[in-house]
Amino acid sequence: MNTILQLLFSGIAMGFVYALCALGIVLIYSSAGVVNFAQGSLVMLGAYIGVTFLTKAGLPVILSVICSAIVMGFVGVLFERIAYYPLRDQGSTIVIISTIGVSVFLNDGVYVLWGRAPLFFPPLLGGPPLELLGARVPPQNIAIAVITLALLLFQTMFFKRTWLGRKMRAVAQDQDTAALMGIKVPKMIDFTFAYSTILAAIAGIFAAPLFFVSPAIAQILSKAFASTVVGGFGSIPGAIIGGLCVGVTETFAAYYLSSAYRDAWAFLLLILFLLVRPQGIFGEIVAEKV
Amino acid sequence: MHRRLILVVTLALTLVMGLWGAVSAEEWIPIEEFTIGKVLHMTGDVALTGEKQRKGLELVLDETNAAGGINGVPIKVIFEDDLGTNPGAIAALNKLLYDHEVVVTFATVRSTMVHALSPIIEEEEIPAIFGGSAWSLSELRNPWMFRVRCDDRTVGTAMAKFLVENLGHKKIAALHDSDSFGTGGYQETARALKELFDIEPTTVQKYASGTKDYTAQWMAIRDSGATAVFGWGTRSEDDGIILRQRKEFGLDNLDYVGSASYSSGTTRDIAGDTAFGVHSLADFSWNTTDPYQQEHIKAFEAKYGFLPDTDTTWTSTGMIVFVDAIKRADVLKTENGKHYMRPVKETRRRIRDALRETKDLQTPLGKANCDVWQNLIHSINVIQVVPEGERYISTVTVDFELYQ
Repeated sequence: MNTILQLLFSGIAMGFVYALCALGIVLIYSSAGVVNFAQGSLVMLGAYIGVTFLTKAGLPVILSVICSAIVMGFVGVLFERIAYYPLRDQGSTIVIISTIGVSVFLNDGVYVLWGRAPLFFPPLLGGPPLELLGARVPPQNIAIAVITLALLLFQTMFFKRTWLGRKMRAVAQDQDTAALMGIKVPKMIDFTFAYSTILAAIAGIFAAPLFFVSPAIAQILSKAFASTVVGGFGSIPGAIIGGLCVGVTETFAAYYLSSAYRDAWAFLLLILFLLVRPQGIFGEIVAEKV
Repeated sequence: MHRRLILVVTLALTLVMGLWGAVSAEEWIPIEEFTIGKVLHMTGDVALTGEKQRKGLELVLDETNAAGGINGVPIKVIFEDDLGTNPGAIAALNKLLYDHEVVVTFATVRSTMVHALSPIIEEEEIPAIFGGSAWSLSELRNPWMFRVRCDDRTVGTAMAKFLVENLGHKKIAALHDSDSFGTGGYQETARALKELFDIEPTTVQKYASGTKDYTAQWMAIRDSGATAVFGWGTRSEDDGIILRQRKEFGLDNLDYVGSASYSSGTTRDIAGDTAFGVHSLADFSWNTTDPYQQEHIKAFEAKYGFLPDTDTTWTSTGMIVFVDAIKRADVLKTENGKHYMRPVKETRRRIRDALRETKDLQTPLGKANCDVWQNLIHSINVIQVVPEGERYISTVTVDFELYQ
């Protein structure tokens, strides 16, 4: 087995998982100007809802994913109505604290609803690992890569080519002006949050077979956040590239430097970017006029 | 005249003081019930184990109270949430001590928390039973702390012997959680491998709790040429991912001998067939041949509908040890339907002394004997995870020196 290739493929697989979560962060940031610290917990909730449809309700995989996405869409609207909309004029700090509160609520709430034991989630794409240039790649990792790239394509097209996407971008740029243009701002924000939580559901369902379903899934928020910074805050391709950078860096550093500090290497990369290129790979330097 | 007066007054005072002292020594405090504290994981990451610990404890508590308590005095256990953190554990113990004024207490199963609680336990001079297995806790020499689980030194030695003597390996890699439990366990196994067989691990791979990918660790283990791995893990999720990736990388031909969590019901549930074949050194086995332990399993399953495990049995064992010591300490009595306890300090001292005299007491974790380190359990089970559940292989009991 080729060690370097194995590390690379595993790093890429982890990177795609981070990127899936980062896409949701980027979406809300781009549309509502808010850093959503509850995104990791929403990913976790998506996994719990997915496992419920799959194992408790006995639905087929595809139907479970669709049902979870629909439920999570409503969760997103509820989240926006409770944690964002009433506070939107209070400043970003207040909204961020509100999202942290939602995160704590969800992390403890799943204990009440689903108990404390981690749950098994079968791989969406089963079968033995594929041999690829001497490295082994589980089919689930390939499924994650495909769905992430598909979402990247969909999201890019959606924001650039559809009226709805353009309206959402207009709301993100200036809510007052967008309202003067006849755009129903509250509805657009509702839609943004719903879409973001649908993304969280997809991320949760695809990550669950790798990590099992437990509140620990929410911990990927920190890596997803690092991915958005490295890729460029607000950039959709940046979220993917940032996620891959974080995943590959931590995997190689864990092998060649120290496995005990795997998380530290990811955050070292984050600090390096903040020092050297704070706008990230795809970000642009914004000049501020006084 | 004056001298005689002084003599009379002195004699009178001596008599009064003597009588007062005699009365004081026999003084009993009226109580409603005897209170035991339990620092418990009720919320936070490890809350799952807390729920099980509570059930294990309550099984013995209910049995004791149903049998009339201790000398007719009912026992009450007060739980305080440690949030799964050291500061939380300290706050919980302080609440038990000052808000609830418990007489004795349980600490926790997590060694790092027990380390944090030790100074308070020693300062307050309160007998405390704990389940943390780190050997470093014995080295604290806290006269008020008693361990009711097998310590890591014993487990590490048993693990090293099993790897070399039973499985015949010489090239052995280590994979452990970098927390105090994982590090302590690794150190004890590595020490035993070196001292008993002059074997050094081919590679030592660490990870932080909650790590989601172990590719780097598995590649390093494979590249080291190891034929077996010993693992010390804390969380079932981590164990599950480690075992799944072991199979994905085609490394399931390496023998894996892990700490107790590798054979826990939770790990088996989530790891599925990737756990089959893994050996584990567990405090408790469902397939034990010991009749007393089998009775315990039946009683537990009848009450709660699921089988006991390490998390439930250490608190059951602790409660049995406490009840036995409190009975022998002669600190409780019932007269005319009213319950009495000796003064708190004296009660605590007597219970501590009784705990030290524990000998050949049957518990779900084997016979409890208090040794010079105030460790009471000296047996560990070697089991293997199989499709049917687990296969009991043997029970290893190490030599120990009784406290008295």
